[in-house]
Amino acid sequence: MTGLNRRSFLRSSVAAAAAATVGMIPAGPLRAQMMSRVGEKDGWSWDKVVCRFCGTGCGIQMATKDGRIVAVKGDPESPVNRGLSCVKGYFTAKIQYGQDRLTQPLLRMTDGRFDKHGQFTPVSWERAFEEMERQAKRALAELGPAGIAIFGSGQYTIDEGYAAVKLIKAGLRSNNIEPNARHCMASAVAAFYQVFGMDEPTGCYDDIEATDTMVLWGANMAEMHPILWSRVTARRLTGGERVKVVNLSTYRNRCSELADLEIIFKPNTDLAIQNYLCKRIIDSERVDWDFVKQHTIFAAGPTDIGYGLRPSNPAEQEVTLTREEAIAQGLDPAQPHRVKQTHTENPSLHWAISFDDYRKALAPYTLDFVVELAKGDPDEPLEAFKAKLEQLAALYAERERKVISFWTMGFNQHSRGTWANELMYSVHLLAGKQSTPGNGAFSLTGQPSACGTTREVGTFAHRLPADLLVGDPAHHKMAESLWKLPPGTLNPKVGLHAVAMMRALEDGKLKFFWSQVSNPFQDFANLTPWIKAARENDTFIVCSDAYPTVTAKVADLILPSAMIYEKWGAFGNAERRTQHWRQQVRAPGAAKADLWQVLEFSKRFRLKEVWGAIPLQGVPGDTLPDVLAAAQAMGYGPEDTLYDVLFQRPGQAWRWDRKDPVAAGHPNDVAEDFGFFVHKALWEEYRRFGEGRGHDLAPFDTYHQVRGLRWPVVDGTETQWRYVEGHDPYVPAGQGFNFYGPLFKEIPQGTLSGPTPDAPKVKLFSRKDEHGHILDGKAKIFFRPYMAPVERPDAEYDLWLCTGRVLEHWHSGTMTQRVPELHRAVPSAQVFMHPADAAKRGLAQNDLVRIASRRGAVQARVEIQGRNSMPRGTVFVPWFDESVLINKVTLDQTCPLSKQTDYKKCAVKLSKA
Amino acid sequence: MTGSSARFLLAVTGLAASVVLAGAGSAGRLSDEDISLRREGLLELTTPPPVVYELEEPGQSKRLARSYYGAPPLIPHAVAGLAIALRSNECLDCHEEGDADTPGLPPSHRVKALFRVVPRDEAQHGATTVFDGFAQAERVSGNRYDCLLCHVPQATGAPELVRNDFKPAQPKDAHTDNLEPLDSVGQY
Repeated sequence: MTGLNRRSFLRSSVAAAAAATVGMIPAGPLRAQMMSRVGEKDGWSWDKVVCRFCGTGCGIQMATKDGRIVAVKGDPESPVNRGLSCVKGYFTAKIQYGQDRLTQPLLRMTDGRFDKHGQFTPVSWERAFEEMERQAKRALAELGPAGIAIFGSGQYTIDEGYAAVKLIKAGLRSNNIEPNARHCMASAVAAFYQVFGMDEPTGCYDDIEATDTMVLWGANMAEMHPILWSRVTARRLTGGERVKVVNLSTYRNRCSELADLEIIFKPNTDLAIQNYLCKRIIDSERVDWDFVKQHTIFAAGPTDIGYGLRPSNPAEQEVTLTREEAIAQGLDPAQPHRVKQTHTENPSLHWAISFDDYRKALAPYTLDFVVELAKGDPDEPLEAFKAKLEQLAALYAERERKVISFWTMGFNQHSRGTWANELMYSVHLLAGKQSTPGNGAFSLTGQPSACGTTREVGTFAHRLPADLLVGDPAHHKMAESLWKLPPGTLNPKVGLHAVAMMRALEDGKLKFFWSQVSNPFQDFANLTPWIKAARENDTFIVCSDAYPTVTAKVADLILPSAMIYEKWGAFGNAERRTQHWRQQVRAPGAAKADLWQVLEFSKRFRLKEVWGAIPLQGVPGDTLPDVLAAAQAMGYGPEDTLYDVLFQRPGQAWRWDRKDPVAAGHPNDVAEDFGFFVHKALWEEYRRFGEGRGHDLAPFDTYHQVRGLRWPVVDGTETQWRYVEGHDPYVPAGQGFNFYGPLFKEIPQGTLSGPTPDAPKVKLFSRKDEHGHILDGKAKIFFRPYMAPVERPDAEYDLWLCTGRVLEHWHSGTMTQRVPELHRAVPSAQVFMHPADAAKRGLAQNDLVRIASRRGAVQARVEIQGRNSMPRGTVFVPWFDESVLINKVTLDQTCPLSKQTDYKKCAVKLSKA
Repeated sequence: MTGSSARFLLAVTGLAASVVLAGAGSAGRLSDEDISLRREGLLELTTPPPVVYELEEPGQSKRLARSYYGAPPLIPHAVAGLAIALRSNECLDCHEEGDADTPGLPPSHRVKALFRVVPRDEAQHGATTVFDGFAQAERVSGNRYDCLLCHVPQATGAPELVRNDFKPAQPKDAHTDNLEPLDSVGQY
């Protein structure tokens, strides 16, 4: 039998039969066998840890012997991954053994002195911190707290992020801390704040097994969330034909192979498709009116908000609407519409509108209009695309059908990213499909602790822990109380967001920049000016990393960091699950945990240097107040260091003992160096921020007994679905639903043309209970129009460029390119393109091609047969490869509300190199 | 620069870097180009090597060594054109049962972990998703249907970027056939 015949013979039977389970295996002996720990006789020691790639948050069992990792496997008891890991997860065994691990600090020096143009020279930690201190103090003296910044990460452990926030905000009185997660999920956060008044998803991964329908919007889960995809796959294959999977994307990816329906759309037209779905739900009378009337309100906002480019860019002043944009805003397309961008400073403004206005706004989004606008594959017949949109609408509108919508970077990295997130909630809220098992718009997150650290701890320029905000007097009061700071210590001016940090480096307004657990000089869009600013301007760049990265190359000082299993830590995943792990092995050479680095650096500042009166533009009186006298009254002396005040004194009550049941014999280098259980001390302090405020977390020790818990954890029990009675302890009996998030709960009212002057504000709740919790809280159904990307292909730059990841590599490739198996799987970032686009330019598979935009160019190899099938007119290049720095080509445009970069669309030209 | 001389340079500078980073003295000074995976200046254009998977067809290839005990086997043959789709899985066409020359699915791939969601007031340690043991499946577990999540092919001739010092170990109580995954059915 030939291979082909054999395949045909088996073809129909495989899927239907997948995982037809026979029945329970009796626990007892087989369970024991399954849980057995191979190697224990040889001195292997197994422990549970967490995977450090993507936002899924898989549990891993790790075996160590003689201080080295020897094996890993998926943790059978982890409710997230159920014993499976993806290829990157398995190879976490090898990520810390690349031969060029950084093992001691390296400072650019000439003749024994720091020299920005000198060569990297090995120095002691003492010498490294001495230079860091000198440079940070110089920047503080010249520019005040605005002149220094920390750039962190969604891969920060919770304790690292918390310590960094406390040092820079409470100690150094600067709000200039941002994570790379700004580029990853800021749009999701902005939408959560605007729609629900509080961050993070309403549902959890159990939705996958509870739903009938999984719709992917710009989320290539098969590569970016492989283990969640394995659960989606299992649900689709074993759930019967009623279960459907839909893949919406701007190109065909691996998810399409297992999808029932694939919809390829043009960049940014997701906004139009979403509005069509809302219109269709209303027109076909499938609105869940009981839910909508009781628990929601309609809202709109300004559209003239710019594109997050530099203010000098003409598009930030005025744009001319395209024909489609005019139609989408209910304007006459025959007339020209030049629109001044008047809301670039307050793009988040929004107001309540009537249902009649909402319906009027949706009127242009007819099927015919949206089909013509959105069809993304020029080779697909219009009628075929139309039929697909109708099928999609029918799924959302079917009253009894449960639907989960998943998204990641497709929505979030979008010049109207906050809007795309908001519109997804609009679809689900209108249909009454939100916040119940199997129903909900579910924002996935990209990094392992983008949620747990950056969002929950608040390592952002505008945030404090547990959804507290910079500049809110009540929030400052609470933070200052929990941190035992004199009133007025915290700086009320929001700091620089990520992209603004790079622009400030270029403009000489930021001089000290410390990157941790991140690779900003590979990650940021439009790299060239930022690389030049770092190398040529009067700046001091510190890079803490385990390996020499692109950021290390542009740095003045490189600090060697411990990797994930060389330290204790905790991550929080996309379903609000917090998971802790213990240190498994020791870091090589002089490499130290990032937490250790933050605490050591804090020893370099005395209160008298940072808590006196400090001139700062944009705060009341243009001065941060002198709080030294108040500090003295609290028992702090002017000679005390920030380490004494922020870390040592509050932490000393927490003893470190290796015989502690929690330690279970594991080492803890950080605790041993500082003399107390730093991680536990920080955790117990941190969790008080969220206690009783919907962000409750369990005690430190609890997390070492469980496979993570989903917050809020109230009375020792986790929460799967938020805002719904019976699941969320913050929803009292009789409420049904209570969207109790406290932000933006009193808003102006108006019409589609703007807020109505002098009209009273609308309150989105009935009253607050004795604890100050909102009752009868409402969510918002936003109208947001379709708007075109600011840079579009033209006669010269005639192709769309989309960037992203591949399964085998993580982010900038720092770890995965050092694992030979992963490197060989995908050795280079290729440019995926349609064969006809290649032929038109005389290009064949593997030809070297120059990819150029108005900002820069790179060379890569042509791929026309690979895992992604591009429609004509669009190319895709992954960004993991430092030899193909595709971010030299991308555009530093952001969603104006979230300040998150849009990496998914700009105009490029390709030519044979 | 030709491919081979580029590889030679990489190997030399990689070695120099590792010596220096291990703690050399004044001789250990490094320029920008001496560190990281990229040897060219950041503002220069690079010439990445072609990406070639010159692999045998399925059924013709030799198995590759496991990376460590329990690591997912690497795919030694070409996968271009093989579809893992909703109604057909061409990997399983050969590997579901296997034969003398073709590895079949290990028991781990036919076992399903059972998890159950319980009401809040029945949650142990507060966890509402409860691990309930295992079920035996006749066919491949749905979670393991998409083979490419764990198993990947290897390009041929890709220059090594950095050596990796991970040392695999073989435990005494290991299954003698190294093709068995770690813990055989435990890793399901």
